[in-house]
Amino acid sequence: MIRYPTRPSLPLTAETDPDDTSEVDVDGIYRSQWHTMVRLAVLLVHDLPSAEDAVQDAFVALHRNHTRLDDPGAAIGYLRIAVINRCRSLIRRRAVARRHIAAIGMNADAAAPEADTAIDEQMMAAIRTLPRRTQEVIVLRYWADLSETQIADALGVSTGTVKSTASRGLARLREMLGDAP
Amino acid sequence: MTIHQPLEQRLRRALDVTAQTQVPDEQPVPTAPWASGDIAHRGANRRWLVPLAAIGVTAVVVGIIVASAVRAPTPPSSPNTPPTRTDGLIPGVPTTPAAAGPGPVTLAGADLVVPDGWRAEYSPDRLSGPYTWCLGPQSSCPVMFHRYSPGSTGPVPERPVRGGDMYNVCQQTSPNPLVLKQAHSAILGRRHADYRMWTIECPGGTRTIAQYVISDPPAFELAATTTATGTRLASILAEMDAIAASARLPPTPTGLRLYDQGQVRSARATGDGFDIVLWRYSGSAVRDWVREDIVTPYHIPRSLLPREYTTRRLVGERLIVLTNGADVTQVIVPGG
Repeated sequence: MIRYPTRPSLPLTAETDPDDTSEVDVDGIYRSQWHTMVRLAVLLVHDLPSAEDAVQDAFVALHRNHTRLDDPGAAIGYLRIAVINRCRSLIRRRAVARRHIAAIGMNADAAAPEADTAIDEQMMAAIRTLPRRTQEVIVLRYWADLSETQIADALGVSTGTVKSTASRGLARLREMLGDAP
Repeated sequence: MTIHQPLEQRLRRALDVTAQTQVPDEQPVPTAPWASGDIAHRGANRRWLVPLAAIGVTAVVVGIIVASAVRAPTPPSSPNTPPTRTDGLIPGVPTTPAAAGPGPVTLAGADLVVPDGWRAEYSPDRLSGPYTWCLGPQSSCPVMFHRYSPGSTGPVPERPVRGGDMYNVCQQTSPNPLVLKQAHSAILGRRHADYRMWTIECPGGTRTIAQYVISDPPAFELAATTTATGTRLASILAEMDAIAASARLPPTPTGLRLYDQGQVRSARATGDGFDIVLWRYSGSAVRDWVREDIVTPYHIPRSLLPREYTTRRLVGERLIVLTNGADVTQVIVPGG
């Protein structure tokens, strides 16, 4: 049985090989990156079917455009941006539903889940209330282990924006979760 | 960023658990959208994607099957027993191989000489179809011999991606690329073949893949994949070369290659398409292509090419042509 990495840090960061100027192996990337990209998407859209759809769309885009990539080694970076963009589109289309989910997630009267998952649900519910870009920064920073520069590239913002967004996001989470510094 | 370790640890764990729970490692990778036909629903309106989709189907199926090491649902009762079912078999091809060795054996109509100390073990699976044998010392399989059949579920003998039809050669995800070491024309069983060799850095060490591939029907492949190094690697490759040199394969009929790639040397418009002469290139990735002294005429139906193609546009173009042995069925324009 093939084993995929449980942590995405390697595939998500091993995107540039300066010695590799050959063609993009889209099929190989599809097989090796599918889990990682769906995980990224599901953390952004909070819904597996939508995440899978976003990832499939992103792979289709890579499949169509990989020959136009100036740097074949940047294919995974391209793919990640495509996934993020499609997640944004999904979120925009589901704005009402997202607000609804966020409201439910922050309902203090919600039934308490089992202890082992309680922290997870509480944290995820808090994350879902954050602004979209803050969620993206948080996920790319604390799940994908990307550097501030990589996050800035992926989101098309400055590193300063990444820093301030992450800081505000953490502060907001701390505030909501009662975890004072 | 503000550092607050407990919250950050909790955040990381929450994200990890959520991601892992939603998308566990065991969840199979679905068929690629360009291979499933679903691409049309995703805004694709480019007819040249059809052949790419077909390639993708094969590639993904092969990759998934290799990754899962799934065996045929009805494997023979013993390693040397020929298949008892008829699906996937080629009419007229013997299904009773003298799978033993060392010495001369006949495998799917091909005469091979198994080296001393080696044996040929019937080893069909859903990846390579019913005509596959392991060649090597007892309990190891450094070399594989395979006969392809047009239209079978087996992989296309060559593929325009790195690794040819060798997928997941590390048996797990590897971020490292296959590095092409050799690509040239060769002889397998007295027939013209393509020889390719790659290496890849797997977590367990360097793996070497070497292939003799004959794409003309009846199409065959003799391949080695091994982590051996030094003299042991040299020994395996030497044995494979000896098998290739001593083999005698069924002669090719007048059929087309199942796979060809190269540059269009000339093109002429016909009623329903183009008659072209393709100047064959060997190699894997387009950047590695090396022109061979082989030209082949093909008739390409217009429906297989993007609309903007004219005879002038075709000449000089690099194409990948797939056939069923009689007609061109798919055309890929690398980078098109």
